[in-house]
This record gives sequence, C-alpha cells and structure tokens, in this order.
Amino acid sequence: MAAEPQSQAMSEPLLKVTGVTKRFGGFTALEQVDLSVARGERLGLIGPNGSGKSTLVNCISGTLRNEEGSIRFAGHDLGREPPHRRVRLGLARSFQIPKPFGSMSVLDNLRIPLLYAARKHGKLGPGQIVDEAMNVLRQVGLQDKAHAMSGGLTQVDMRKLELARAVAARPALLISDEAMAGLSASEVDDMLALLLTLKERGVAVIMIEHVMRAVMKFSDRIAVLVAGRKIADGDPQSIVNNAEVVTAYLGE
Amino acid sequence: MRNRTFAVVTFAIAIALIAATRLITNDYVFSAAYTVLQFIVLATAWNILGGYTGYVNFGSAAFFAVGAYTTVFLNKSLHLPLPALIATGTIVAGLLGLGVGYLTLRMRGVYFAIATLALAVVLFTFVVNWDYVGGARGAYILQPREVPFGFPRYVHLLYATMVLMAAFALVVARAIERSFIGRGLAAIRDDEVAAECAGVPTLRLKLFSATVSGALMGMAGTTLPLYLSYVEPTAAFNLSYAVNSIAMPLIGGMMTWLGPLIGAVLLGTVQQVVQVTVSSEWNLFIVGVLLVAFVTLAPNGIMGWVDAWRRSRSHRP
Repeated sequence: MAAEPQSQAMSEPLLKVTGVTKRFGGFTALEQVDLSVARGERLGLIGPNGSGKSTLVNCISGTLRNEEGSIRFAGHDLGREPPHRRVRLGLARSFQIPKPFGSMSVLDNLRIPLLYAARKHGKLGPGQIVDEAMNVLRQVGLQDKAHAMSGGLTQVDMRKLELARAVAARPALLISDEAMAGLSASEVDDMLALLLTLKERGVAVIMIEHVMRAVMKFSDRIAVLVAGRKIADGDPQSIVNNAEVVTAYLGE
Repeated sequence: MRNRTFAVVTFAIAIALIAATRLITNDYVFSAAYTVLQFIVLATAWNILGGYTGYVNFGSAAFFAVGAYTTVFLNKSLHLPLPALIATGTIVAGLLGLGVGYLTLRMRGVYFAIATLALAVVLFTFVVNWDYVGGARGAYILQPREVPFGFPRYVHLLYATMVLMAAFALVVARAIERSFIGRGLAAIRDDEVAAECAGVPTLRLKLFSATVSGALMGMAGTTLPLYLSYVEPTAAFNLSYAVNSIAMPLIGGMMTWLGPLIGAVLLGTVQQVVQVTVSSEWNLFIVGVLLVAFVTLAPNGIMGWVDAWRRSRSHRP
C-alpha cells in the first residue's frame, strides 16, 4: 500500500486549505478556514456538534462545493475536481453515517475502491484485488465476515467497513469522520491501532472525533472548529490548556 | 462462464430456435414468440438502467417508439434495407438515452421516474403532430415481397431477427453485469455519494448505462412497423411496453441478467395465453396482480427468492 510517489514536491504540505467559506442560504457553515496537513501527519479535528467539521470534510472530499477559498492536494488545485478524481489522487474519506453498498458482500464493498481508485497506482489483477481486500479486512477484524452481506452488518461492523473501504483506496490522506462514535473501549483501541498502522506507510490522517481519549492518543496536532471558524491549531497539550477551547468545547 | 463462451452458447441457442420453428407452420406461434422475445429485449434493456444502476425509467415506450418511428421515417424517405433500419433506430434511441442520462445529474428516485414518463408524453404528442410519419392516423409500411435467406414468409424473418436481438441484448447485459462497469453501477445503485467517494466516475457510468439501455429498447422497436404493417402512435407508445419492461425484471429479479429473461418469458407467455383464452383486455390486469403479489411476497423477484433458498441450504450443516 504505497502512498503517493515521493517525487512530488515536498516543499508544499500534502493538503492546503486556504480561506474556505461555505454558506447554506443565509447560514455560514464555514468562514475563512485555513488548514494544512503534511505528509504522514496525524491531525485531530475537534469541535462541538454543528461546528462545521463534516462540512469541511465534504468540501475537501468534493461532495460539497465551497464558495470561497482554495483547496490544494498533492500539488493539484482541487477547485472543480469531482470527488472520484480526488479519491484517485489519494484523498479518501469515511462517512459519519455508514454508507455500505448494501447489496454487496463485505469483500465486494472493498473491490469498488480497489477497482476504481487504487488502479491509479498500477493495475491490479483479480487475485491481487481479493488478496488486498482480505488484507484490509484483517486489519479491521472483518475477515470472518468477508462474504456476509454488508447491509446486514451491525453498526459497529459497518463503521469498520466504512474505514476499510477508505483504506482500500490506497490514500495518501485519509479523513476519518467519527469512525469511533458508539464503539466500546476495546473497539476504539482496534480502530486506533488500524489508523496508527497507516502512519507507518506514510499515510496522513485527519481524524474527526468526539472520543477525546482517542484524539489525544492519536494526534500529532489538533485543530478546533467552533461555529465555522478555526479557533485553535496546535499540539495536543496546548489545545487542552487553551482557555478559549475549553470554554467553547467543554463548557464553562 | 467467460463472456465469449456465453455469447457463443447464446447465439447457438438462438440459431437452434430459428431452425426449430421452420418446422412450425402456424403463423400464430411466430407472432406470439415474436411478442415474448420483444419483451425479453425490453426487460433486459430496462434492467441495465433500472436494475443495475437503480434509476427507474417509466418511459420505455418512448425509446421503443423512437426505434419504430425511425424505421417509419427512413423507410419512407430513403427506402433503407432492414439492417440499416435496425442500426439507425438503435443509434437514435441510444442518443435519447444519453439525454436521459444527463437528467440523472439533477434527479433521482421518483423525480427521475416522472421525468421519463413526461418524456414519453412529449414524444407521443410530437409524433401525433408530425404528419410526415402519419401523425395520429398512423402509417402503412409494406413488407418487402421477396424474403431473404429462404424464409417462407416475412414474419419468419422478423421472428428470426427478434431472436437474434434477444440473444444480443442478453449477451450485452451479462457482459456489463460481470465487468468492473457492472460493479460500479451496483455501487451507484446502493449509494451514489459513497460510490463517487470510492472513485467511481458516477456521471460517466450513468450516461453509459442510460445510453445502452435506451439503444436496446429502441432496437426492439425498429421491426415493429414491419411486423404490424401499420403503425400508429397509440400502438408504438402503448402503456403496456412501459409497464411490462418494469414488471418483468421486478418479477424475475433485477440483480442479474437472468431475472428479466425469466420475468419476460413467464409474464409474456401468461399474457399470450390470457389473450387467446380470455381476452386481451385482461392483460394489464394480470400484470398488475402479479406485480402486487411479487412486491409483497418476493420483493427481490424469482431470482432473489432462489438465491435466498440456496443460501439457506448452503448454511445448513
């Protein structure tokens, strides 16, 4: 599972979000948000409900169009690129509410990104696709359910599948949108373990999470969104001690 | 089975079907078989967009009629031979399909279905008012006097053509289903946003699916004017084409190429039998009753029911 070729410009961060603004009618969901992620970096993105975290993810992955600002990824201006092109460039995401391909088996769910997105990194034979899919399933602990229909999975397994499908796209940057909500402590540890193995392959991760234990353990850096604005961005310790963050996020 | 093997087997069966019916002298058998085969093409074509991709098309009659009226137009203006008529009608209906594919950019679900229904009404009105192709009066098309390939009558040739069209439609549908395109279409059907975010170029695949689906439906209509010798808008745009192309895959199963085939043979045959033994007025009633029965009792059709049964057997120790 190679990341993007190393030959790409190293001077620029992998992801560079500059002045992104998104409005829904009169409501400003994101206002002048800047964010950057370096290759292999682990960024935690936190904020209260409705602060714009998912909207930002949607703008980065292309399922929403931002009205202002620019998003650059791996040397490309994502401007008007449709989401499937962004995945092929190496920008994969998981969904907060799992969206499995319900008529397919768990294994077939992973075939889709392997056929359509991972192809960019060299064409895979049918045997390789199954091998690779099983590999990813083992990492999330779904190998025994490879042939089960994904529509009938439990919520927990659907979240694992959601993450597995994003990993199967062989991303250089993976955005995990609340993959751990509702999971037990040991399942959170499993998911963290998976996300940490990505680090070894040089995959950058943006983790959106409410499980603070996980965010603190995982992140090199944390950014905080409140009401569509980024109010803090720094190493985990400084975020915890930031008075503004504590007020906005944890309450007075 | 590999695609090529499947194609060889299918066309071998088709040729055997053509050869076998040369022994039959009763013309009714041909016309009944022609109708059932026509529904195999329509159901198979509908299923590429409706079943594989998940976009319900209520305007099948429009595509079918576009094929038929392309034949009427070209027969009158250029006197083209049969293969050219079929090819042109298929292409024109394919282009209409491409146009409908662009509708999927803004519409899905019920809205898409209603838009395709509206398309059929618009085209119907257009044809009714187009005098060159006969308008509301309809147009007569004379079957050529000489019948090629030693067929005893022209209806035999049309029957043989329809057998080959059905074989062609099945081979195309199965090839799409088994390819990476088929998997992409299934992903779109299950969740379009998730498909796009897994790297599937959803718009391109939807345009492809709508074009192929429309082209095959139009192909089924190209021989209608010659078969009837007379075509008028209410016949070409008949509601029964739209209803049957949805009902047959639904009853047979929409996930694979086999479902529409089973549904078309079953429903098509039942309709033919009812038409002879009871009355033609009861046709759509029968379709309606079967549809309600299947939607409530076996929502995944006969194939879905068979799959469930097989799975329950294989899980038993």
